[in-house]
Amino acid sequence: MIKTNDVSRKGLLFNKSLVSTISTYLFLILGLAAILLPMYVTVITAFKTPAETAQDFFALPVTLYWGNFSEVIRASNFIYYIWNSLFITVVSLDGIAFIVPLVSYAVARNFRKVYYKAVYFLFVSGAFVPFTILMVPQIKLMSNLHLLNSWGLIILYWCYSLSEGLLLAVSFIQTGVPIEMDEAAYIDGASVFYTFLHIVYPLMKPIIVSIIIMDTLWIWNDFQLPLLMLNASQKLWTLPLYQYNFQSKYTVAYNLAFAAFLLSMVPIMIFYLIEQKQIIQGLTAGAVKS
Amino acid sequence: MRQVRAGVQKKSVNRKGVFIFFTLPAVFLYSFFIVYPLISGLYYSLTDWNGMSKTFHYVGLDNYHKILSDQTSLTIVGRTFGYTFLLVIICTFMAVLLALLLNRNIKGKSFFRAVYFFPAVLSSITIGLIFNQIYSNLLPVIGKTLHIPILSQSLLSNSQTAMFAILLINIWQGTALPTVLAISGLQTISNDILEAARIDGASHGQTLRYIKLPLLMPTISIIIIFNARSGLMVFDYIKATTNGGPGFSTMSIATLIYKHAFTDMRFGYSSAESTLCFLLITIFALLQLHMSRVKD
Amino acid sequence: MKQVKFIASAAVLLSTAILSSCMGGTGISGDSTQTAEQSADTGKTNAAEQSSAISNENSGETVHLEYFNVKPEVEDIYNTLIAKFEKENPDIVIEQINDPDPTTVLQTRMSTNNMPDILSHWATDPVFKEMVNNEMLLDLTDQEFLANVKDGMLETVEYNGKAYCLPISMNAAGVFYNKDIFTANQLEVPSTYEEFIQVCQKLQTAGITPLAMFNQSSHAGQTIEMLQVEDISNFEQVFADIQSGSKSVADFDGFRITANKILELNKYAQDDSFGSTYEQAIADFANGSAAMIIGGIWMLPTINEDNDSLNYSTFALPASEDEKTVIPYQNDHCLAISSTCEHPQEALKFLAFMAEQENAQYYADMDGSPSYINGVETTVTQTKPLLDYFNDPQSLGIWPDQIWNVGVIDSMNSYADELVQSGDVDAYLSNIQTVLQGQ
Repeated sequence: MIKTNDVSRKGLLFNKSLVSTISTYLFLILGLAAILLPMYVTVITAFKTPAETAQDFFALPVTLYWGNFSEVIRASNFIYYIWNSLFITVVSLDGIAFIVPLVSYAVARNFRKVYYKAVYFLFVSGAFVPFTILMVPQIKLMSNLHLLNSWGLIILYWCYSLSEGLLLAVSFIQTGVPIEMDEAAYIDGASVFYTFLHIVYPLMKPIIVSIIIMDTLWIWNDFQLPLLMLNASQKLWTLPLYQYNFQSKYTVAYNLAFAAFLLSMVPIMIFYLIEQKQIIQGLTAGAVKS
Repeated sequence: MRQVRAGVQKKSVNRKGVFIFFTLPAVFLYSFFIVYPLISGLYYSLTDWNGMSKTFHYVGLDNYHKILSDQTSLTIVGRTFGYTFLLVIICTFMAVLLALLLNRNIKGKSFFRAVYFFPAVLSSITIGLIFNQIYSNLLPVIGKTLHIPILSQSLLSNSQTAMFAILLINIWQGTALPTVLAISGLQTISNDILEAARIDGASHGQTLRYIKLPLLMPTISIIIIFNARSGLMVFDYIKATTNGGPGFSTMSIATLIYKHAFTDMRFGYSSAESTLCFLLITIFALLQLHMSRVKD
Repeated sequence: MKQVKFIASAAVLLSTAILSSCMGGTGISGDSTQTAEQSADTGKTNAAEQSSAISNENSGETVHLEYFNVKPEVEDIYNTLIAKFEKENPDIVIEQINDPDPTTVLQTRMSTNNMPDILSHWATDPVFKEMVNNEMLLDLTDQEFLANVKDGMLETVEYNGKAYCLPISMNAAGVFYNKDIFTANQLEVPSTYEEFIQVCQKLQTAGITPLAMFNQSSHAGQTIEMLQVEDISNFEQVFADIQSGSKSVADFDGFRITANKILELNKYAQDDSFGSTYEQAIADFANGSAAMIIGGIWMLPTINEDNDSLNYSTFALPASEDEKTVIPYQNDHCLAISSTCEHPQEALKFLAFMAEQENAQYYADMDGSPSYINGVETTVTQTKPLLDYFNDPQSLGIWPDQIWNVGVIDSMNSYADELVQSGDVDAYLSNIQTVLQGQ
């Protein structure tokens, strides 16, 4: 059956593959347009004067008008919000990069013991708890501790990072860091902490980088926690919070709104351009594991 | 040598202590900032506390009864489920389709992949706000020039279309990560199997149906869980666009709980809602786990 | 290599972060500079610069107070007044907090015991009652500055004979109209609801948008309340009865009448009124693309900001032919001090400052609302037609939402939106029955 049809099949295949290649590209380019169109609108509107936008929403700006950006920066202490976002993200990540590997190492090496198993399941099951149930009691607790500020938020990020972090790091150590490495170090007289810091931690680098990248995107873009933790004072706002809070101010002057969106996206865009491969790998690993 | 060995053995006893010490910071943080509020949240769900009064009453399961008999809440729960269902179906389909296309021998593969992934790195609140502007200022202009009635006003301002408009934003962002997941899932399928299938004369459709999709199932189930979670908890897009309106037409479970806790001052009630939501997600996760085990 | 680079760059960022956070945390001077920058935006550069200069000199001893403003319309007025206060009291710095969603943020702060030092609020609002009941506010009864409040007015904002706030202004609501458009189309100010609809029809025929509505910001709910004040006689008792369960919404025709009226009024709204926010609708009115806007006199500063040469005035939202026209009013804002304020003396100083006739007069001139303070006359011509109603207590009614429980207003607004969207009056009536009867 197959043999008799061989020739005609080949001809068909040739046509078919050409058609399918073309339709593949067509489809992919269509998808590309769907993704890039909102970005295109954002960029061009941010660079246009209100009068230009009123004439034609889609047209390219005649000249690059930087006034919207300076207006946004001048009117809203924009630098301040970038600084807050940066500070919170960097300090949170720094803590995460230490706490998560530390506890993961202890758990991975003692997984048979009840206590460590309990710790593991306690942390990992946290991923199922919807934030809403914690919301008010947690915010109340933070308020009583006078922690409704950046540091309080950072502490909460440390806590929330444990769920996914532990899940990824423990399985990484179990499969990727042979226990013989530890034992060799002990025989050489190294302490547990020394072994962790100088033998295990360097070997964990790939998974730590994955966790850091996932958490960078999460913390930098997070809205719900800052909304509750930092909404009391403008001085504390992060970028997402600033954008949310200024939407009403910019409903009339939307050129400014788009300039603010673009400015807020620039840092993460640059980060993505530089670390693109790492980000895709990191997020993929994270999602698959959890 | 002997002395050293003896030393090692002594130390192994100490090591247990050191390992426990390693876990202490995390356990302390977690118990104090997550477990304790969680338990107090569960407790408040049995009270009529308004969130700030010094006195409140224990009301048993009253709040739970009220939730289950509140028509508006049930409608919102139903809507959130429908939303999640559509989100999961569409995102999964798009992701697998895009992954299959991107996995072919085409030029500019990595460029496409980078762009398709791009929405995942942006903040959902920014995306929500951008689409909010597009819906309210851009689309109506197009709709009016082309005389399309449904587009000539903001899709967000009509209670019939608003939730779909929000769903579209969610799909725009929610397809990115699943696509990349599906690509890496496809890449783990060994070339030998595909080669063998081709030699056996399997058509593209047959390879897809009998080889690629079954082998992709674990990835697909991850994608489903991922999107289901984000659909059931949808909050940011709604806050950025309609804040639940017009009327209650775009309220989701998460925005409803937020409203009850912080606007309506019904804290006990909203805690009960959160608890139910927690149960719901847990059941869903267990079901999913069970199903994937059965398949294995 | 990339990983190393990434970690290295993170480390560099971190050390910069810590360094500058230490530098930034040296004192209040940094904060006050920011306050100064914000007020500079509003064109009060001189005063703001002075205040920041002063605060920098005394950064050692200054008392720092937080003022939480719930009325975004008066942000600039308060900036000017605060600058003046800080000039008179160089040892006190007041930071004005303006949040785009002030009521939610304030409620969050209430429920997390994180009250601002000084706050503005509405003295008869259910949330304010909640604050009083939970002892969150300082008792001001014995303060001398309360003697500046007009005779008989303090009682309206007291609880059990105790004063917890300094009342500043009242509000009233009606219809703002563009005088030039009315003249051009030979329209008269309507005195009955039916005439009002005729005016709307004529405008629409002439190709002019009669009403700017902000349905994205609960305009339907607000307007329904204004109608309820007129169409439900003895409405305060009615709402009390419904809440207690002794009567129901179905017992009163007024609810159906107001529901039908809101549907009728929305026929004269601009296209896509549900896509329009409060700010957008005011801008539409201010730039002349709509002839009228229904709402409170609190919109005046915003209208003037958008277009200070607009020729406009107000009239009461008229009642149907055989009914009496009544306008809703309430305490438009008062100032209160939180019981957890660490510097009550300084905070009281600010309230005393606000109770001075000169400052209260400045406020009234800018805001156009009737004042609670002795000797202050509101001379703003645009709101005068509404303020004249204050001469006849029978023509005034309290906003219905002041009688409702916390949280009711939000749901009522949502159901009003639903009504306008669906046109289903019966569903609306049964929904508000559930809400008003209580949870």
